[in-house]
Amino acid sequence: MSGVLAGMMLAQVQQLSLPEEIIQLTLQGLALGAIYALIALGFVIIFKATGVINFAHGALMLLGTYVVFSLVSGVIPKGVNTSPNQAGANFPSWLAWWVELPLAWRFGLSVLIAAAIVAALGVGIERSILRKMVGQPVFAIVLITLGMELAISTFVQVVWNPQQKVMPSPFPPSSTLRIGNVAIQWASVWAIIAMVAVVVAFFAFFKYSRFGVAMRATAFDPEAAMAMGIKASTVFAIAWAIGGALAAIAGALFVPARLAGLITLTPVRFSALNAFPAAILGGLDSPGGAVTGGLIIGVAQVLSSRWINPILLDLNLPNFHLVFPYLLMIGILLVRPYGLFGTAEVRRV
Amino acid sequence: MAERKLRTTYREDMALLPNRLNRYWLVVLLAALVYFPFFARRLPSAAFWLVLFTLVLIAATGALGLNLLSGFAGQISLGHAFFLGVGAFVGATISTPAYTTLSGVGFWGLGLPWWVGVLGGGAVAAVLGVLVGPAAVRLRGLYLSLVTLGLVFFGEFLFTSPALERITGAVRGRRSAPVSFVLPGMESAPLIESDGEALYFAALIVAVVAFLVGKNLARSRIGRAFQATRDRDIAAEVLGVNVTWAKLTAFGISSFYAGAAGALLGVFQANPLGGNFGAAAGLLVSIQYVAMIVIGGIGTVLGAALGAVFVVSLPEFVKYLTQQGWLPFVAETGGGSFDEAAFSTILFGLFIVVFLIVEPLGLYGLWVRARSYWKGWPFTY
Repeated sequence: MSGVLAGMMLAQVQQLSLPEEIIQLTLQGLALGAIYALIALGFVIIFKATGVINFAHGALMLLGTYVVFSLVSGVIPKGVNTSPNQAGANFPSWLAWWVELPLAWRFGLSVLIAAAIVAALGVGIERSILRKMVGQPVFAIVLITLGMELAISTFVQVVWNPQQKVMPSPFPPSSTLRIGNVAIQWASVWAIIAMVAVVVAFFAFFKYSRFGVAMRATAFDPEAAMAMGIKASTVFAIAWAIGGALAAIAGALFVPARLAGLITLTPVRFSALNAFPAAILGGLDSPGGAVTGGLIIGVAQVLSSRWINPILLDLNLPNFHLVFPYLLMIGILLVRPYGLFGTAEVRRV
Repeated sequence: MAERKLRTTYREDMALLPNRLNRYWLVVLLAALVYFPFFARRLPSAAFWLVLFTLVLIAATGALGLNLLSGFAGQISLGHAFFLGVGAFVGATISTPAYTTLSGVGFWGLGLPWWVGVLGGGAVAAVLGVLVGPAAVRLRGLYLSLVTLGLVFFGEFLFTSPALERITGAVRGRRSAPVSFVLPGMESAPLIESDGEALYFAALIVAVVAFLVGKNLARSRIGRAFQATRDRDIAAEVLGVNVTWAKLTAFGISSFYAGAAGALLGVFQANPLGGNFGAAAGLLVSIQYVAMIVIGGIGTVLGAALGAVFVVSLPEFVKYLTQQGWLPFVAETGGGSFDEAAFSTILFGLFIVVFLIVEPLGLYGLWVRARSYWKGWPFTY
């Protein structure tokens, strides 16, 4: 019981009552969940449009994060020689104005540029690789995306070197928003705000824009959509572009909110794998489900690390919160095999 | 070339070795594999070749297990590394005598012969595999692949936890005793000169048994039930196949193979860290096994072996070429961020992509294509 006692003492040090602590941790969980939701949304849109599960999503996220790092801190990656922090700005002199921009502007623009770059890469992957695999066995497609994940993430590791780096961000880990006793980091608040903005834009795009309607039509009935003159190739390309952009945005939000601004390879790469349970839990073909699933997984992970971890730590089983999303996913899948909002496959002999 | 006889009965069609040519080649292959360590002793880089062949044999055993599950029964699994890890630790516990390290960690151990460790590792992994089975009964296709991906993380959680330190050594890992063929009443095993050679023969015995059993499973009622489940499970049910039973059996058998391979791998690595089978490393191992069966040829017994040869050899050859100085742009391990491990991982990833675009059916598909080309040569039809 010592772990629980230590936890209770910690709460007393922070002078938080139990409801306050629940509120604070739920807010943190929502921030983590917002990031998972963005990642899961990327899976879902690609799956819905092309029927492919993109196992390379974590690698795209990693790439996006490092591009943001390079742009914000003005560091050109040179493999082993890449500077671990922003002190070594080495952009050429004609780009000096960029490094002198206010940090908030630089960060925002960098995220947009990184999103564009990763989106372009996503379209490139779809065009050059997955287009050729249409109609091939699902094993081969799964393995291709796994191969891309290995190649891209190792490539990122080679170019930027695996040493830990500091990402300069307009929300340093020490700046918090206080409401009464409850404190939440600004980085987390912005993660939630950004998620809401992106999700609203996302659903508006699908509801009102010409391409969004085309994509919904294709997902609903590909043949009828083609007969109406909707180009499948455009739909595939847009899906991969949106997926890639979401991966980059999620990476840029994840580092300040969850890693205190320190970029380390493994957590970023694996946060996408943690978002798989989110996508599955909501249902692989349901964007609304992805957002719900992401928020559920995020809150569950933070709350479990506070209240379940200490109990299991007494049994010498640390780090339970890392497997909790998967256990939750399995539990829900055993009850609802297609997730909370997924469409059940019609099975015929 | 021996003439191919027309098969006139079902029995002939399902025979283990349908014609004399097959039998001849099998004998040659087995003889070559048995003779190989004695031949390798005389090669300039003997240890390299022995290690490579041992790894290929172990990987082929594990890959065959995954191919029975994924290729025959159609259940995509990304959790193979977990079962390999279970096999490694259980095998080490069974085959190593109990000991205490200098840092005061006491390990459980039974000190039984190596083959008990292999069977025990397989059995425990099989039990765990059957426990995962119910998920497979409820879920299908890609949903299942993501659940099994969770096993990799669960493996990291389990293997590195201090609660199991007496079995796994937590984050420090544990050693497994070397394979020994010394019979009671003898001072040393006949003909075998080193631990490496003993391990090679152990891996060879396990692989031969595994392939015999695997081939027989594939052509028996169980194999047909697996294939029916893969092709359309509702149709299989209508035909009278118990789909639940088929899926659970597939998971059990596949995990048994993985556990047996893992027990040998534990001896090979001498220090099976939990990290080797969980999280990032575990994911890479799982991907390698999926790559073996897909590159080799999904749903074929031969494909597992071909894929294992290929996937295991690739990084070893990159390492070899780097050490020979033929890849000047690649640093040796630890010599920079672009070292041979990074290079072979990138190469492996790109290779999977390019290969599958060219030939989605894998090496087995290439082999079938080549064979049918030469059958009709010089006519193209």
